Amino acid sequence: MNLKAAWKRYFEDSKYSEWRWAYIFLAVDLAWSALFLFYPLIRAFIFSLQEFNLSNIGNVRFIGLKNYIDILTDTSGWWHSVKITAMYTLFTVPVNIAIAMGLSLLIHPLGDRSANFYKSAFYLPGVISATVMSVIMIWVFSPMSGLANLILEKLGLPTLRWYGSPDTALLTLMLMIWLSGHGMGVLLYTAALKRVPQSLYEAADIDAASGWSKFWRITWPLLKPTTLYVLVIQLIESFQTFSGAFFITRGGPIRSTEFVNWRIYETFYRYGNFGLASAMAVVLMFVIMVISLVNFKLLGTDVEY
Amino acid sequence: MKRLALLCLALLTVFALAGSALAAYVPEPFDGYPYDDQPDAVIEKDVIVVMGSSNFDPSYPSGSYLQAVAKLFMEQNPNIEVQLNYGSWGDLWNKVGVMLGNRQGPDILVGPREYLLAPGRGGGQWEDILTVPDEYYFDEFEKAVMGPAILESCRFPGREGYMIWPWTNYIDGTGVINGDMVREAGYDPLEIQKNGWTWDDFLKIARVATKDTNNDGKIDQWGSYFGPTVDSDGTRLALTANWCSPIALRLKAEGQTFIDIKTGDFFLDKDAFLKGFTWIQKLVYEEKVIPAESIGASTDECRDAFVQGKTMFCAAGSDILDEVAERNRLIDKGLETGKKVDAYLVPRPKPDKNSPNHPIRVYVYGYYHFKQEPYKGDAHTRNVFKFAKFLANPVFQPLLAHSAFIPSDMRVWMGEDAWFPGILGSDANAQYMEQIAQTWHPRLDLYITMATTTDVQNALTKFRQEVLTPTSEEVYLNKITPQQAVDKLQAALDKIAQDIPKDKRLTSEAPAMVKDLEDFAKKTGQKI
Repeated sequence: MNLKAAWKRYFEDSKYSEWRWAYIFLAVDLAWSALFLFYPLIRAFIFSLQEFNLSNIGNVRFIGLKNYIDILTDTSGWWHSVKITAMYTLFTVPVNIAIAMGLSLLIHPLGDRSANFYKSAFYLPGVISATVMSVIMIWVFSPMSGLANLILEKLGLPTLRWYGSPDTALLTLMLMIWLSGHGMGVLLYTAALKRVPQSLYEAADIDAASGWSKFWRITWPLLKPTTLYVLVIQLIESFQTFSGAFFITRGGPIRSTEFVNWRIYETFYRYGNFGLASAMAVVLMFVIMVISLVNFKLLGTDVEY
Repeated sequence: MKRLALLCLALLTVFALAGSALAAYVPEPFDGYPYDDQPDAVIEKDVIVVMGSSNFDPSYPSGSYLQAVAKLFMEQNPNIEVQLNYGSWGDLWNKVGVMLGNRQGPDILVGPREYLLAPGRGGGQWEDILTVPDEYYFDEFEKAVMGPAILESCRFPGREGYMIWPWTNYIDGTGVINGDMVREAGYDPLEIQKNGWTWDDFLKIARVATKDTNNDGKIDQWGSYFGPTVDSDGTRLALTANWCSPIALRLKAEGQTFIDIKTGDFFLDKDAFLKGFTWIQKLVYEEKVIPAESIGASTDECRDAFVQGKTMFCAAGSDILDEVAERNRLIDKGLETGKKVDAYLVPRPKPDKNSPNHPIRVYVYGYYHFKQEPYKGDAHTRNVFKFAKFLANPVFQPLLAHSAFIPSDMRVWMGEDAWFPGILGSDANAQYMEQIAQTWHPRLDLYITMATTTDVQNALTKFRQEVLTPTSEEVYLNKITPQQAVDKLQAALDKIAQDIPKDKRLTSEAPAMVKDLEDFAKKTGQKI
């Protein structure tokens, strides 16, 4: 059957009538994904099995799993950046979820206009590009003339070196996320809170339940699907964190902000080892995939609505 | 959970099998270009892709000028469209690296030869740059007219490069000083510019410059800011060995150069590192003429501090003079407040009066063309060079200037950054740059890179990333002593020497590189 006939049949056959346009729209999206997601993914996977660097661009060769073995046995390099990234994740994701949930609980009882205002205000930093955000943060946390030190000075407190010291650089990048990275969480939690049946709180009031008890026994369990979603998204974002290291710290000082993505970037662009960098990217993808699956497995079981 | 574990195991197995299968496949090595025998394509509307960085950004005077020149060219050649592409510096070289790797270089690249070499070499693209048809070269007379600078910039070990004209040059390895602050300390800035200065001179001037100017109990004017500790450390203030370096030390300090390419031995100049580290700690923590908080500050922050008159010295290249001139202009017009800065481009300080001046590096900007794959035909190549010559023609340029095609504010930019026979600019800085044109040297670390094997390059990359930079930072932040730092560096280099056998350290090109460096040392009277 030629293409024209197949196309005609597709539009005339009643069995496709309900879905025909859905498939067409999906095809566009799939083509887009294939081109810009799956194809690069496959290429990166192929690169990861090659000795492919600036010295041998004209003579690339397959070396099996050597790049992966190099990565996994590189205790001073790869595992150092994994440790930094894990610490960053451990301290940013739970704190950000708590902040987002806390803000949502405060916004929820407000009227529509006020709630919309606050939701927009908290979401705004998410709309700003990472570059702009980083430039603003450099201005805020500059050890020489930053706003943060000015405030500390006015309060009579000792100033800090912020991203200029290995003791506080990672903390500064975390602080930046604590300050700006909960817009999406607020939006999702406020939407989820609206779906929690009011009758449950009324019943709890009759039983003279305390505020904490209502939160712990009603709100928290019913927000679990949202929490799971926010957690997975933020874990992925956190493992992929890059802009702070790129624009502000360059992985330093003394390697204190050398995230996995920064290491991949340096290996690829600065040192031109495309094969090794691609292998790192594939490993990172696996790590994120496994963590997400584990989260879904552990947290996605006892959700009731 | 069991299902999850099985899923992961299955994925890993597939992954391992695919990897092993692909490992058995070895592609044919790259075997030249097939297009030499192809006929010319017929071109009705030819498109010339030109890439550069801020060179083409119309918000810069140079970019605005180039855009105007391109427009004029298109008016005169309606069948040719010139696309001027520009992006940030980092973006440009990322893109160019990938484009060259895929043999899809732009028709013309505007940039410094030194940057081009790194990605160019790996893909064999350096050779491609050279294989432009002879008829498009400038002839010997034209080369002679352009003077020794262009000839030197074209030269690379055993090969003759092709470059149309070094239209502009970024000078690095220099610094700028604030004339007023220098004079206040009893020194003459012109004398420093002419004859150089020592680190002791620097300290004496910095002591006078470092003060609380508005009597609020806080120091607000400094000898210098410290600046970035990574990335820019090859050329900025923070690179220890640069502080007291003639060429030999500079070689060791820059890039992957901790290896003697004559013998294949790894080495560390402990004495230089010890002196450099000690000196930095003295300036920051004993003399306090550099604020400790500025360690790790961005390059922009350091430059801004100088431009705004907050520091006496900034380890910058000639381009900072534009920023100073712009701020001074705004002050003149009443658009900005503050005191104007009287800036002088000077060599970096040296250890003592008898030492040679710190080597100055010049990024020689040129217009580069690449072999195309697939070949777009001789007619296209001819058009590319027609445009390049149009841009760079030594007769055309002054004519444009004379006919006011280049507005006066653009001429300032050209006068300060170009040394082409006296187009414009005759102040002390312009004269100094003219003089530099006769004494500069290329990036010598590239010679070292080309002489070493991939194993050595990878090991030294890891050494720089995981030992040299963080250890230097530990010294700058006063967390370890200079001696401890030197011991750490030595131990790491010893480990590399153990891991890589001596016969696997140098490439077959090493002897040619040694000869070139020795010739260069002889020519400049320095010890390599």
